[in-house]
Amino acid sequence: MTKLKAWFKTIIFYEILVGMKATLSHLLHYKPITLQYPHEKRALPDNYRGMLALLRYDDGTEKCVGCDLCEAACPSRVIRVVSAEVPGEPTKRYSKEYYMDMTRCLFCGMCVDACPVDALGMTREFEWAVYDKRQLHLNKEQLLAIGDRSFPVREKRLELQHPNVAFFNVSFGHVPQKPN
Amino acid sequence: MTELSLRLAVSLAQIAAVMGVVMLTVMILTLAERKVLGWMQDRMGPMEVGPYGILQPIADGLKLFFKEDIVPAGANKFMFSLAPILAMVPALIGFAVIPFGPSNKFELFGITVEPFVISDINIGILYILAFASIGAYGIILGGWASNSKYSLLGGLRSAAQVISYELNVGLAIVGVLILAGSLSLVKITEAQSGGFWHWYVFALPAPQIFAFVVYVISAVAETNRVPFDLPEAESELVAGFFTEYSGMRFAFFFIAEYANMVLVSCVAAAMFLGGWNAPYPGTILEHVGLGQFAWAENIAWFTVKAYLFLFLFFWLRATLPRLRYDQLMKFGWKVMLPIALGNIVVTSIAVYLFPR
Amino acid sequence: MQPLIETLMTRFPRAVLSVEADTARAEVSVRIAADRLIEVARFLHDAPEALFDHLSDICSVDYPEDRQRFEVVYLLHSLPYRRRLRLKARVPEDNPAIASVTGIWKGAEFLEREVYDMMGITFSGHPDLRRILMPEDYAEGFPLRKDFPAEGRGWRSQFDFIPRLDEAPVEQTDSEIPERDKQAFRAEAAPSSSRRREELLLNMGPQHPSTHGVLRVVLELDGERIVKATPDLGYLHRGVEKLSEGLAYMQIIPHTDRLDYVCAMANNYAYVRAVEKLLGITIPERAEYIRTIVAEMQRIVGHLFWLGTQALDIGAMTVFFWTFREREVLLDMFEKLCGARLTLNYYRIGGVDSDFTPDLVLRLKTFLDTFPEKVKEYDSLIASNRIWLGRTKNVAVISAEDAISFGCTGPVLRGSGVAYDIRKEEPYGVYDKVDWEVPVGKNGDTYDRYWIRMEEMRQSARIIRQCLDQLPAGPIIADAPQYIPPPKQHVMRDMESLIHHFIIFTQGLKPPKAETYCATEAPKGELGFFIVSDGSARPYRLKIRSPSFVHMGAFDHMARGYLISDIITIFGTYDIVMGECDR
Repeated sequence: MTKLKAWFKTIIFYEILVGMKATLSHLLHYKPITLQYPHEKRALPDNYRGMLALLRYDDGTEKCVGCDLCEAACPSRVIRVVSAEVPGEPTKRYSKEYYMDMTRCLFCGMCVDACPVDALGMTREFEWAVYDKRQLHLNKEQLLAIGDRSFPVREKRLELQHPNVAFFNVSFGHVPQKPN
Repeated sequence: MTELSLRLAVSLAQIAAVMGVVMLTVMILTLAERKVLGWMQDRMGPMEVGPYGILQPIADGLKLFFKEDIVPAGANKFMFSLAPILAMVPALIGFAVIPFGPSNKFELFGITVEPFVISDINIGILYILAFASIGAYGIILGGWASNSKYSLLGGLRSAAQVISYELNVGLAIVGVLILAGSLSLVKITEAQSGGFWHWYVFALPAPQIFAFVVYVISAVAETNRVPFDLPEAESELVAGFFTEYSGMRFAFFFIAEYANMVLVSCVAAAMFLGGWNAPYPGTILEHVGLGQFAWAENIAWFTVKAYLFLFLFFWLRATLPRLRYDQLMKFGWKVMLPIALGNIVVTSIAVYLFPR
Repeated sequence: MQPLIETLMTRFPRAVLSVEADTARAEVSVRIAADRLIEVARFLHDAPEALFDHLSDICSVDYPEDRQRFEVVYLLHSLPYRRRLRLKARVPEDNPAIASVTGIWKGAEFLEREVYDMMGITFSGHPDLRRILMPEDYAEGFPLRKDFPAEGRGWRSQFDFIPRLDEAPVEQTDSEIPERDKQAFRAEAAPSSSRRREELLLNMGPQHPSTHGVLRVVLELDGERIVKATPDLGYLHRGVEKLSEGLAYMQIIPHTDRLDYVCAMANNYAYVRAVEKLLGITIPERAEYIRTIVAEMQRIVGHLFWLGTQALDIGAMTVFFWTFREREVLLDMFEKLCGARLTLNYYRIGGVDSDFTPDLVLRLKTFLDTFPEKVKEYDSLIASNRIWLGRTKNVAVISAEDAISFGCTGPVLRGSGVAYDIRKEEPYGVYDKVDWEVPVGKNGDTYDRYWIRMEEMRQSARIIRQCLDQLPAGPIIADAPQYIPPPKQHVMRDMESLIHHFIIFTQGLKPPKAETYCATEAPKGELGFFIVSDGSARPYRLKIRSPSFVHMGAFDHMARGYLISDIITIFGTYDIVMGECDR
C-alpha cells in the first residue's frame, strides 16, 4: 500500500506541489520585509557603531586631553594626535591636531573603549559615501562638528568646580578646598 | 485600390495590432516576473521607477538601447549580429496562426476579413513547430559566434535541450490532432466549443491530461525556463550562450525568450484549454443580448488562459531548483517521450473505438 | 599520553630531542630532529597506540637569532584517542628543507605549500610545491620571515593613494595562454601517447557569480566531466598573520572578524579562547553563557547564509530570500547587542563587551519560537524535492578515510560518518551543561552535509533556549587587572584602574612566554589559533588554522569525475568563505 502511495506521489509530483503551495501562500499572504531605503530608514539602536565624533562638555570646551590612548589602541592606525599644553593652563593638555583617516577605520569602537575621558563617541551616521577619498580624512573641527550634530546632550563639566583637583571629570565634592 | 493592396493593408494592420499586443505583453512580462517573484519571496520587486515600479520596463528598454555596442575580439561580427535576430524572428512569427477570438468574418470593400487570426492556414500548428526549430539555430550561432568557451558550451547544451524537448512538444500535441482531425488552430479551437467538458484536456473519449502535463513540462524546457534553465544558469556558465551579448542584441534574445513563452502559452491555451471558448457554453454577452460584442468576452477568456500559463512559468521559477544537464536529457528522452507516445496510442485506440 | 611518549623515546632515541608537557594547558610538544621526521610521523600515524590520523595544521615559526632558524610545527590529532600532539622540527637557514608528509596525510599538500610560500621552507617529495597564497611569480621573498617588512616589498606594495586616470591603457594581451603555463593544471604530464585527447581547460573565476568569494578554479574537462580541478587561492590574502605580529592582542580581535565574515563572532570566539588559554584566566559564568548563546546564534546565521547560497546556486532562489529574512532578524539583534551587524568585535579577552538586556532576551525567545516553522518552510521547498535530491545525492562524495586524511573537520567530516565535534570532545563555553546532539551523516555526499547543517541549526536553537533559561547573573568580563582593562567608571575614579587602563591600552597585555593551540568548532569546521608568545605584548607568531583552506586541499579529490554543474554544488557543500581561506 505504501509502495502504491509512493508511486502515486511520484507521478503527481507531490513534493513539487507542496513546494509550490508554499510559494503561493507567500504570494497570497503577502508580507514584504523590504525597507524602501532611502524613503524609509531603519531606527538604529543607541549603541550603533557609526561615524566617529569628538565630544564636548556642556560649557563648550572639548573633552579631549590629547593623551593618545586612542591612537595606541586603534588596530588600523587611523588616528593621529598632536597634543599640546593648553595655553595659559600649564597642568592641562589638549589635542592641538587630531586626524582620523576614515578610509582605514574599521568602526570597531576600540578607540571609544580606550578613551579615559569619554571624548570619543560613535554616532548613528553611516551615509558617508564621498566621491573623493580625501574628504574622508577628518580633522578635529569636522569631528567636533559631527559630535555637535549627534550628541546634543553634553556631559556636565565637573572638574572646574574644584580648583585643587585637576583630575578627570569626576565630582570631588567630598574633597575639602585647600586654603590658598 | 486593387484587391491585392487592400488585402495587404488589412494583413499589415492585423500584424501591427498583434505585434503591438505581443510586444506590450513582453514588456509587461519582464516587470510581472520580477514583481511576482518578489511577492513570493517576501520582497517587493522594482518599486522606484514610476508608482510601484510600473515604468520599469521603459527604463530597462531605454538602458538597453543606449548601451555600448560591444563585439568580443575574434568574434564573427556578421554571425554575432545574426544570432539574436534568428532567435527572435521565429518566436514572433508564430503568432500569425493563433486565433485570439472567434472566427467572425466580415466584408470590407469586397474582401473577407477574419479579424482575430492573421492567417488561417491549414497547417497551423505545424507552421509554429517548424519555426520554433529555427529558433535553435539562433542559440547555436549565438554561442559559437561569441568566441568564448563558456558561450560555446552553453549554446551547445541549450540547442540540444531545445531540440529534444521540441520533439516532446510535437508528440504531445499529436493526441489533440487526432481528436480534432485538423492541423489548423482555428478548427481545433472551434472543435472545443460548448463548455469546459469539451476542452481537449477533459474531452471524452480520450482526455489529454497526460499529454497536457507533457506539453507543459516540455514547453518550459523549450523556452529555457527554470527548472530547465541550465544553459543560462547564472551561477554556472554566467549566462550561457548569451554571456557576451549586451545592449540591443541582448534585448533581442530577451524578447525572444519572453515571446517564446507567450507563444507557447497561447498554443497551450488554444490546443488544450479551449482557446477563446468560455468554460460555459456560449457567452454571457450573447445571453444578455449584446451578441455583437461577444468577441470581446472571447478575447478576454483567451487572455486569461494565456496569462495563467505565464503565471505558472513564474511560479515554477520561484519554487524549483535547476535540473542538471544529464538529468534534463534523461528526463526528456526516458520519461516524457514514452508518456507522449503512450498517449498517442491510447488516444488512437479510443478514437477508433468511439468514433463521433 | 605518557606511555606513548615513552614508547616514542625508546623507539626513536636519536630522533626525539626533547619533550615539553604543558600541564596547565594540557598540551604536549615533542621536538624531533628534522631528518627523522618521516619515520616518527609514520609511526605516529600507523602505530595502534598512537593513531594520529588527523593532521590539524602545519605551521612554521621564524627564530632569526637561532642557528637553526626555522621551526616547522606539526599539530597532530588522534580521532580514536581524542588527543593532540605537537611535533616540532628545526631546519637551518642555509638549507631550509625537510621531508614532506603528504604520503602520510593527504591534507599536508596545501598546508606545506603555504609554509613554503610564507617561510621559504622546501618540502622534498611534495607533488606540487608552488606558491599558494602569494602570486605565482612573487619574487620579493617570503612574507612571514622576520626580516620581511609588514608593509610589503616590491612594485605590488606601492600604489598611489589617489589613482591616476591619465595613464595609457595596457596593451592587448594574447588570448591564448602558452602551453607551458597550462602544465600545472593538467592531470597528467605532457601528452606522450600518440592519441591526444582533446581536453578543455576552463577557467572559473575569480569573478564569477557563484564562487563564494574570489576563488579561481582551473578545470580540465573531458567533455563535461572534470578530470582535474586546480584551485588558485590567495586573491583575498590580506596578511592577517603578519599584521598580527605588529598588533597587541586586543587589537587583533577586529581583524579576526574579517576572516570568516559570514559568522564573524565565531572567529572572535576562537581567537579569544586561544589567548585566554595562553593567559590561563577563567571566565565568569554569565560571560560563558552569553558567549555560547552568541556563538550558537552565529552558527544559525552562518548556516542560514550557507543554505541560501547553496540553494541559489542550485537554482531555488526563493530559499535564499527566505533565509536572509531570518538572518535579518538575528542581525538586528546583534545590532542591538553590540552596535554592528557583520563585523562585530564583540568578544573581549576575558568575557564579552556588552551585556544582554532583558528586552533582547525576550526578542531572542520570540525568534526561537518561530524558528522551527521557518526551517520546516525551507525544507518544504527543497528537502524532499526530487530535483534537489537529484542534484545533491551522491554528488561530491568523500569517504571517511579520505576526509580524515585530508584533515577535514566540521560538517564535512561528520557527513562522512565520523562523529567528531569539538564542542563535545573538548567542551568549552557551557556546551557540557546543556543537552544537545551532534548530527552525523552516512554517505558523505552533499545531501548528508545539507541535512547535517539543517539539523545543526535546530540543535543550535535548542542550545540557545536552554542557555537563556539558565542564564545566571554576574559580571560579563573577568577580573584580571594586568590583562583586562578595568570598567570605564573605575578608570575615571581611582588611580590604580587608571594606570592599568593606560598600560593595557598603550603597551598591551603581556602574556607569559609560551605557545598554545586552541581549536573551536566554528560553523565551517575546526577553527584553530596557534599562538607563540615571547612574553611581549605582541604575538611572536599567530597561525590561523582555517577550515576552508584545509577543505580546499580536498577540493580536487572531491571534484574528479563530476560534471561542471556539480562544481558549484561542491563549492557550496564545502561552505567555503574566501576570507577565512586566504586570511
